[in-house]
Amino acid sequence: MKAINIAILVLIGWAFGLTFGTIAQDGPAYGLAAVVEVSSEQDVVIGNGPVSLSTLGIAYYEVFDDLGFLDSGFLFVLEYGSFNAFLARDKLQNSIGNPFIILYDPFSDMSNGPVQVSFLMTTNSVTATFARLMASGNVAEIRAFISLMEETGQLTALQISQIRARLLAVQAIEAAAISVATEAEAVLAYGGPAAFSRLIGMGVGRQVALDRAAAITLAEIQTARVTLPVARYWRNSYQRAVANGKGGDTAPARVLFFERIIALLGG
Amino acid sequence: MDHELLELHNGSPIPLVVWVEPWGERLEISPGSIWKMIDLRNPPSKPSITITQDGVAIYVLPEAELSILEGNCKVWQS
Repeated sequence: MKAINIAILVLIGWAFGLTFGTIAQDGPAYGLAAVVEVSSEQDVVIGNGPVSLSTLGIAYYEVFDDLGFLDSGFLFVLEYGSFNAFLARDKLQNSIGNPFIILYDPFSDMSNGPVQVSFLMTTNSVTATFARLMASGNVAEIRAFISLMEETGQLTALQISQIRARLLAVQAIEAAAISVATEAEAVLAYGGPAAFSRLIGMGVGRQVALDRAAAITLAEIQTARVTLPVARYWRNSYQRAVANGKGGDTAPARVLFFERIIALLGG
Repeated sequence: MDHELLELHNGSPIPLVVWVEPWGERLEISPGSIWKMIDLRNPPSKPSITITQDGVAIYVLPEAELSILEGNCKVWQS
């Protein structure tokens, strides 16, 4: 057990950039706790704000600057109050104004908005960002922006109601686009690591997948927003893993698990 | 182009279990060994790490073309 603890400490040390060389940028310039070099191409943004995720685990994040969306990805919240977000160095170096990160709780509906903003924008950047988002028609970005403005009180109630009216129109366009999206895009929109982690867990073996296959309910699946395309995507992924000799004895069990989900969804 | 995602060093005197997700692959890093994870895709994946009961789990998206090396020796490939 002691040995495991040592190994874990080494990994946690890595995760916080302790073994990865120089500090590339310091907090005040970017409004972030620290930006640490992890490779020739990526930086890790270490946030230490009041993370309020419902549980430790995978979170989806988006990075914005004054001109809008910079990057997105998934990160693991190692402990309450801190997180690491990977960001391509060229994006950070070319960012305008004050970049900030929004974290989304993977265990809640993303439409409820972000759960944390690691750096709040200044008033001057609000107008420019708002105009760019309206022009882009990107619902996810607009939704995040509205939540941010509500939380920080940087827009009036009238302004927010005007944004929401525009958002409804944009959502109709988005819904039509989703209906013709590819299966992979649908998976990224509604599934991905968060859904996978919630359903089956990570770092667990064959027996857990079999147990979950026996116990999973339709209500659970629907709560996780796992649709038929999502379930088929994962089932097919594990079938390919089995065919390619990957995943040991865990992959076949996960094929069964997702086939059970597909059956429950009537597929 | 190869992108080095991360480096794992098992500083403990016993093997460290590593789950490579989402494939569900269970691997072990021997004591003192250093592994590198490489993504052959462009843009590269962004790995996430969780601490599990018996080691760690590393998650990348299924589209990643992951290769794990110990020195120049390939340990595993997606």
